[in-house]
Amino acid sequence: MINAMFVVWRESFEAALVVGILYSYLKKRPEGAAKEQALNFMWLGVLGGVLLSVILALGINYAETELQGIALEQFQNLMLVAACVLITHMCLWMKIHGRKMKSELETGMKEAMDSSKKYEIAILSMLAVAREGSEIVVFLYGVAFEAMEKKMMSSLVVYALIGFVLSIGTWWVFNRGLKFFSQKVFFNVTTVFLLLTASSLILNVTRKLIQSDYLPTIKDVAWDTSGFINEQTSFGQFISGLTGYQSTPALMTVIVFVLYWIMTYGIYKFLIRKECVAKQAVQAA
Amino acid sequence: MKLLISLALLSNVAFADDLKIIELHIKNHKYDLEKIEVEANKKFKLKIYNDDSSSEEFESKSMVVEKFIGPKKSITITIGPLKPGSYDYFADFHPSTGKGILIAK
Repeated sequence: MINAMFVVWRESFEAALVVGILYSYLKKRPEGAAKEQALNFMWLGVLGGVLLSVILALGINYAETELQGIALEQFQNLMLVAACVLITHMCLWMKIHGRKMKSELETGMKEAMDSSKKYEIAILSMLAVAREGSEIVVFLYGVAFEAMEKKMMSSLVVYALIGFVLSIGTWWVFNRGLKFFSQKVFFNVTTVFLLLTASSLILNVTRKLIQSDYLPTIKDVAWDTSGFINEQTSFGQFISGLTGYQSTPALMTVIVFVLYWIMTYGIYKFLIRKECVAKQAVQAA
Repeated sequence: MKLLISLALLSNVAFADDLKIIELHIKNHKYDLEKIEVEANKKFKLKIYNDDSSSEEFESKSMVVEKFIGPKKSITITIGPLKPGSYDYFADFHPSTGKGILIAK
């Protein structure tokens, strides 16, 4: 359940980052009705984003109560895949847009303020909150399902709250620009952690599909590294929970793992190239 | 790739039937078999019946299995190949009563 803390931590941090940029931009505007209105739109967007996430959570919850047995299991597998895709997408997006996110957001704000379309500010903050919020919802779903059955919902809520408080703390430190806190290190470390989490999600789905005979193993044991890290030890279980490590993976699992990283890397390279082309086009114009 | 997968599927189906099936019942939140012996390094199937009117989850940390079983339902899972050793399993919703050990020899 400590995973819940990490995910809530980084996701809320990103939402806070975006809202923080919008807020400090608006704070610097000259006083007046326009500023008041813009700030109201911003908070409205935050509220809308939270609301959208809650609606998603309710929708998933509804689907869950309607489904049973195998259908429920497939639904859960689907949610795990969705969480994997969302987390990977978020990491790639931040890697490419993160550096100029601030200037992009401020350009959007300036355009909204200059035109009469101030409601666009609400859309900006709503999208930021809803995106991170829906990722939290989809990821926590699997954990929450288990927690509810075991009547351990309160400890899950506590972990999620710790993650939330940590994100506020990180955000505060971040804004202070304290020397010991390196933005680059924070993002790189959490990106590696989140990509590993994402790949472990897809490996979990693969294992479940193999156990239910939906997927062939191709070769039952591709290799055996139990002499190196053994899942029977508590250290091995920790590593396995964090990364999806298996000492005797099926060949199918290995293929899924390799495909995940090739695809993630490929999409990353593709986006970088697209970004470069777009930049050159702007410079040429 | 497609060919590879379909070939693999075929070969899997071909020997899937040869797997040994072990039947396990859950009654009053207890497993009827609390000690199971299987052949090491060989895949096998567990068919688990939940005879209770409450739902249960078959779970084993050492075999890395977690499977929900509805009331009066049964499920089948493919496990292994396991290395020689002992593997614990338990009933996740009633861990104090439902537990057992599987030994791979």
